[in-house]
Order: sequence, then structure tokens, then C-alpha cells
Amino acid sequence: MPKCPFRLLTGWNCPACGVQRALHALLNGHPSEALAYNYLFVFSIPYALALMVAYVLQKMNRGESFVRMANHPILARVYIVLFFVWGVVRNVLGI
Amino acid sequence: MHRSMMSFVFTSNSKISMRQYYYLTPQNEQKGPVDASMLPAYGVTGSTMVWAQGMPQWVQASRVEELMNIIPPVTTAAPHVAPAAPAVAAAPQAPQSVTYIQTAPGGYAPQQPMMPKPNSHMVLAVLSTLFCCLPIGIYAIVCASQVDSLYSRGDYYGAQSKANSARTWSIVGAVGGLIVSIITTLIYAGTFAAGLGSLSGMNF
Repeated sequence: MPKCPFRLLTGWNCPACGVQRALHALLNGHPSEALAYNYLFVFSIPYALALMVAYVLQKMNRGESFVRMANHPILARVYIVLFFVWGVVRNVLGI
Repeated sequence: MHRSMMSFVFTSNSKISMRQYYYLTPQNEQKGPVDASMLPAYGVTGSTMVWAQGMPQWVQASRVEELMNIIPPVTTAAPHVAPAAPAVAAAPQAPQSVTYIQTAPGGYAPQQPMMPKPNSHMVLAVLSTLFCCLPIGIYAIVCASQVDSLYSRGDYYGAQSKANSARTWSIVGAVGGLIVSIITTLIYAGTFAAGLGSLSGMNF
């Protein structure tokens, strides 16, 4: 498996580290183990899925309220803040 | 009467400085911004669609009061059109509008005075941060999240350019992350192979 360059250079886990391990665990049928590799997934994966669904709905000119909700700027700000907070927390606590 | 009607249509014209205008080429590409005085040099005529900050929608250049002294009115340009086809010269609006709707989402459509909102590429940006270790994706998210607010403020050009940079930086983040990953994997594999090589003398 490829190594995260950020981790190789700094020795720290980056906020996105654990994606490959999590996918590996998920494909082997261990969703809770997958989650433990990166707790940011609780937010980031539903968020990414919602955005993808919203993108498709927008192309179909449907689900206007869902599209607006998924693209709400507050969600984006929450994601950015969580991204950095998680990056610090996981390295401090060694998660 | 005439005067008041014109200023009702387009305000802020008696200012000293002229605004910067965007215009649509015959190929329906958005160009600009250029100074109002430079518009004729770019081939803008009275029938060209133009837009400047503060205007609610794209309009023909001939309808902007500020441009009236700069751009020759449409009526004087009409003799350039082949006189044998007066119908075409008289009613260029309808077919033109149809092509705008079909070919350019950023174009002007009379039934739809607002320009459509550009795609913010938020999906790409979030995926870029999810699967790559480069923080460039975060910048892409910041850009993408600004598209909506710029759009609702009426800054269509700003919204479009933010959407474009969101897409660009998502792709840069993803491709950059991929390249760096491949390089580090190769280095890793190289050291691993070297380690195996030194072990190969041993019996398993």
C-alpha cells in the first residue's frame, strides 16, 4: 500500500490518513474497524455522499431543497474546521 | 421624460470613472473585463451583450447609457448587413437568444434574466481532501463554498471564477497527491526490495 507522503515527511498523521486502511477494513466487512482508522469519516463520508447525490439531482433538475442543503456554505465551513481540529487532535491523542 | 426613462434602466452613469465591462463574443464566450472606452476595439457593437458590476443582467451594449457615446448605435450598423435580407437585420434577437440558451449556460436568455448559478465543484474538492494528503483540497473547498454567496450577491463573474479555481485546485490536489504517493511508494518499494535482497542470503 502507498504511504502518505505527509506522514513520511513529518511523522504525523494527516487529517485524511487512514482512508486506505479504512477502505480495506470496509471491503473485508469490518465497518466499525474502518471507522476507527479515521473518525472524521463520521462527517466526511456522509458529506461527500450527500454532495454527490446533490450533484446528480441538480443535473436532473430535481430535489431542489436537498441540493441547496447539501451545498450550504455552513457545511463547508464545518468540514474545514473539523478537518484541522481532527488533524491536531489525532496527533495529540495518537489516534 | 426620455432622460428619466434611461436613467431608470441603467444608473450610475454620471460618474467620472467608467466601469469595466464583460462582453459575449459571437462564439458566445465571456470576455473581459475591459474599460468601457476599449469595447469598440474588441469588436463590441450595439447588439453585443455586455455586463458590468452592479447591472442586474446582461443587456445589449446599445441599451447602456454609459456606452452610447462610445459604441455606434445599432441603427447605423444596420446598413453593413446585406440589404437583401432586411428581415434578418430587423429581428436578430430571437434566434440569437435561442442559441445563447442552448450553447452557453452563462449566456443571456430573456425569459431568465439571472445568469444560472455555476457548478461550485464542491464534490471534487471534498473528494480531493478525502483521498489525498495534500491540503490543496481545503483551498478548493474554500473557493467552492464562496460560489453561492458571490452568486447571490449578483457577482456572476466572481462566482464563475471561484468555481473554476475550485475545480482547478481539486484536480491539482488529486493529481499532485497521486504523483507524490506513487513516488513515495516507489521509494518505499525500492527500500523494501533492497531489504529483501539483503535477506535473500538467508535460508527460509
